[in-house]
Amino acid sequence: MSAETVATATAGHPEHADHGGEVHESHDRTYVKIACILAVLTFLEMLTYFESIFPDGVERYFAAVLLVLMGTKFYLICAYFMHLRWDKPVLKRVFITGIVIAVVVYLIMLTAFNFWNGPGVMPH
Amino acid sequence: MAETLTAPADGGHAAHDDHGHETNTGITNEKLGMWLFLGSECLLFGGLISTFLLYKKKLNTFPGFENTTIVRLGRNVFDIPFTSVSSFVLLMSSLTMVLAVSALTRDDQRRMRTWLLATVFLGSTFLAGQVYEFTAFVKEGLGYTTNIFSSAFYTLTGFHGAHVLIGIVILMTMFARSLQGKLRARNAETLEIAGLYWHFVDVVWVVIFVVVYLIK
Repeated sequence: MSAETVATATAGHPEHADHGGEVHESHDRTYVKIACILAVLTFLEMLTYFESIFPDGVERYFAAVLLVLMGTKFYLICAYFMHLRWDKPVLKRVFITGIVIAVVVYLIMLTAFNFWNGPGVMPH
Repeated sequence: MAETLTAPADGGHAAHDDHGHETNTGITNEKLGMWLFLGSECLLFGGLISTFLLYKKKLNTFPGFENTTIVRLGRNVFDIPFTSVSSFVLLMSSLTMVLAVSALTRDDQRRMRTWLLATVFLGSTFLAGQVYEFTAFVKEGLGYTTNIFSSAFYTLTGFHGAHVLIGIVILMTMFARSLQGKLRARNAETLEIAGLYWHFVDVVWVVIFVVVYLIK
């Protein structure tokens, strides 16, 4: 592995700068582990569709469970596959700012259209 | 910037390939630009998802759907196990994408091309699944203009599908560049930036799968 390659490989991963090729192997293993976790989480999400296998009354918690699973998958992909865990913090801030603005704007919109309680006021 | 403006047409490409620009942030303009683009994409998909949610709630007010709830619609039309497999396929394409980037940083061209083709294959499989799903919905009577709910559904998932298609085109371009010897370890960031787009498309589907298909 050339010095140039190592420099590219360790860009944004200063804590691993001295290890070169070992970093790649360990990161590849990490990626596979994350993919396995994502697969399991997706399977758990799918299970909520088969309500009959769960005791009565449990289904009212499904929405909250699904949102937690979704958030976990979102975090894992962004942190590991998109390298936000190792990259410069400014990139994390740029992306989180976009997400926060989107969430706030559209929560306000949904509230304005009486989404949470009433039948909604959208025309049809 | 001055370098970009004054560089000759062919020399400019070399400068881009190297990603050697000095910036205040220590991040190349291309990478920062991609992250800014992805941040703005959150607003696009946020708007589409919110609109879908509003119309989903009013599903039973549409002609022909008076006695339909989203639960019944899900049971009758949505094929959750099938969509779950599609989601799994797209998630695995993110794995192959990140492995392609990793292989390129080692300048392992053979593995990089293999993983890149695997990503294209998995992305195409996901798209084929979406086309099959849309066809099934239309046969069930849920066309694009059936009601506003269906329009919101097709617009949201169709926009996502269009992003996947664009991603596939980008990856195929990367593959062609690697065959021409233009994609080497020194410009691995080019593939990493394409990968960022691909992972974002995956992340958006993670949200759509739960919000559109699973939450009742």
